[in-house]
Amino acid sequence: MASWLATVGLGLHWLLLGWIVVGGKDARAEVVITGIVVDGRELPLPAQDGGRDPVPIRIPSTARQIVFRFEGAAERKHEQNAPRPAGEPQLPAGTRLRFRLDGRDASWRDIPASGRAVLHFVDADGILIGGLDAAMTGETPGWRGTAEASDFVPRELVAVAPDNATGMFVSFLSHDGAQVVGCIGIDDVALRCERDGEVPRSLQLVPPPADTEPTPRTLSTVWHRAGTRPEMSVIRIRERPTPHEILAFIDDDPSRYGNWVSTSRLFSDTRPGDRVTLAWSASHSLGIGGPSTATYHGLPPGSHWFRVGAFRPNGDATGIEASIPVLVVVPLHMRRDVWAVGVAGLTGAAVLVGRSLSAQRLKRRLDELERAHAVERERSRIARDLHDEIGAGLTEIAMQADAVRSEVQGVASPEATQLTAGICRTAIDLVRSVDAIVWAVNPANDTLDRFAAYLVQSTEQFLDAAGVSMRFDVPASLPSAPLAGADRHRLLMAVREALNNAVKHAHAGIVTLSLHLADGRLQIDIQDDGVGFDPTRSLTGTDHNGLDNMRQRMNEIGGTFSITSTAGRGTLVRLTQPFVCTAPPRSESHA
Amino acid sequence: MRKINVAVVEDDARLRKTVERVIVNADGCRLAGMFANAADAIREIPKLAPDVILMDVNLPDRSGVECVATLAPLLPATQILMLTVYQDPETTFQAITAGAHGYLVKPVMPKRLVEAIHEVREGGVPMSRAIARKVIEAFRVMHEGRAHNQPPAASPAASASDGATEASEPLMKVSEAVLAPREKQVLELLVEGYSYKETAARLGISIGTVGTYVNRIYEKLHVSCRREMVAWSKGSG
Repeated sequence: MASWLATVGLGLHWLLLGWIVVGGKDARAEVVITGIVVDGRELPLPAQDGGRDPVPIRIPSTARQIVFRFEGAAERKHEQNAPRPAGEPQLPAGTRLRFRLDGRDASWRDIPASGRAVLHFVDADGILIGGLDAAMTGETPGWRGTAEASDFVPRELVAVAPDNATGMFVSFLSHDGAQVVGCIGIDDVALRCERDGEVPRSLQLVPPPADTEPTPRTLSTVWHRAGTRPEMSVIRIRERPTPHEILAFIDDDPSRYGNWVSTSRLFSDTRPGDRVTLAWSASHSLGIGGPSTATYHGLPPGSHWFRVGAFRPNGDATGIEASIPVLVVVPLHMRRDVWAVGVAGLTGAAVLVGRSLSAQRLKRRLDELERAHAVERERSRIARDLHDEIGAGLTEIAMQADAVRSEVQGVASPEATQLTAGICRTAIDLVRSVDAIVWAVNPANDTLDRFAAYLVQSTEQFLDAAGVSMRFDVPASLPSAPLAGADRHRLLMAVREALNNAVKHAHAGIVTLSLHLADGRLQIDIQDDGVGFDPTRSLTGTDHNGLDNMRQRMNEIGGTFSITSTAGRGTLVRLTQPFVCTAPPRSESHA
Repeated sequence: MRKINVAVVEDDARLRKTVERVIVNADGCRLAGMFANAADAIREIPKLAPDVILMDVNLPDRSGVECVATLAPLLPATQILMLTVYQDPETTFQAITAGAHGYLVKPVMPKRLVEAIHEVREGGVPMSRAIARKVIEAFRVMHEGRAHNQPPAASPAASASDGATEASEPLMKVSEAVLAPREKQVLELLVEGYSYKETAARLGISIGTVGTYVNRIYEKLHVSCRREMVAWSKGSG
């Protein structure tokens, strides 16, 4: 009887609590979009005050990753609310945040959130010695606004009792660590314990077995509430097949959770090796209440609205939302219309000299461009995958080789130790090389400032490993003007070649790297204080190859290469490339 | 000495295994827990309250940077070391502003990993030149951003030693975000390519003192970035 009252009481609390907060009179927005990060760069936000014509955020269609940050402002709102009726628990009601990008998402989306079902094993002293858990994630099919009215999905968890196990507990939680809000219903909970050569035993936990006792047991004698806010653990009545109590959670507090735990140790004669099956069925609708992010990878050109809505924990809309317009634009050099104008101009000229370019050929050219863009994206995806796979494997090889080296040092022959060290070094070099390739094909790095940052980092890494001192003369603040991937990679390789010469051949003590922009040129100098050489005397084969490589790389990107050296007085390698700063410092210039 | 409790967040199973072996065999370290994704880490690590967290930058469910941003405020006494494969200074810098205390570029040799765990426990791992370059730029931008409504930075004349501790009351707020002259000197030398050792020799201080200055720079960066974010989210609300 008591539990029925509790159920009604909690039900009332839920109704009264209702949606005071979001339904309040304050007109301030309940949800706020707090940031947009495109390929790692924070963009300024337009006003979200509901003004009629906010300026859309412009995002280039080449952007790989677009992250929107947002949060609910329920807490702030809560403080401004009228006092609650006496006796009502002071729950800071949580707003469940959903988002959508119109033009991309067909419906509102939740940030993935989960509750958990846990099977804990305990030893003779009641100490937890292990367990297994399963996540209940997102929304179950057939959700109808309340857990008890929705379709239930059967679930199962199978565990083997560990050493020293003498019993177990079952527990359900309304979160999995993140800022979850939502509703969960749990029914048909049963445990089954199997042991070789014995008849399996079963225990029904929800609904409580009514026929075994003279007075029917209720759920609250089998289960107790726990968690950081136990009031969120509630009992509900499910009508089908016949009205009966079920366990439920109404989690409206993102920072806390409710918990239902079985009251007594179950199967107290458990032995290690027993196979235990926890079966239950659940209905749930779960989302996130706290600050969150939504990430999109690649957006089609066009106009979109990114929207964040405030929802009740059960998924009902409140009608309160924040939104910002987003305009995905094709960068000038990739735009069909710009090319079309350009090509059309050429066509006109061609006609004048008596040769015509057919519409068909024009179309083919445009299709080629489109394909080239798709190929570029695909290439960077493959490079990333390779990097992740090969990078992890090579890292493993390097670390294991190093472990072997320290094991065998002083035990095995010096040659064996050296060989092992060699494997390690080679693996590390390969990781760095793959890294440089992936970095170069990533269009997010197509700017001068990113190039300079990477150049400093990789130079530092290389010279540190070689035990050579370094000086940098690279401006801390550089414009984010475009510098294409092919150029970046060749410049990087040329610098690396020069560094390699300074360390291996010149035996330099200090290497100075400087980078400057002047007179429409990008100039990179690599100066060392090594042995130098006499340029009038011929170089050996390998040195020649290195210099030829550098010269060729710079020629390929329309740049120059020069080397100045005097025997005993160090070497200066100078790389230049025509570079026009088409963007003002620190601005987005995608038209 | 008490052992350093280390939690590991790394999605690659092979690497997790290797790191486990390194930590279990290392003197003075104890493995507090290993996690393969951000959700598990965010759920479990606050309960373990480890001394040091080794955090992979790329996790399957969300980025290591977000994971740091969530965990760092919950665990003020815990030091977070990022493990990154990409040498991208951009990501590393984001992790630092989110609350990480250091970073290692994989592959990291076992000896170096254990060294770094001890270093970060004692205050911080060395700041690379590439990151120093980003830090100095970040301070410049933040300083310019609020130059119009804040008193000027502490004058070099007040540079007796450490700035942060002896700043007078009205300057307290500024000193949180503005580097003391010595800190600025250290940062500038790093940007110019000087090693810790060379910096120490140039300024006539010990290498340990260079490390202390760098730790203060990290702290000021954390404070400034947090405040920057708060101010910004309120302003846009």
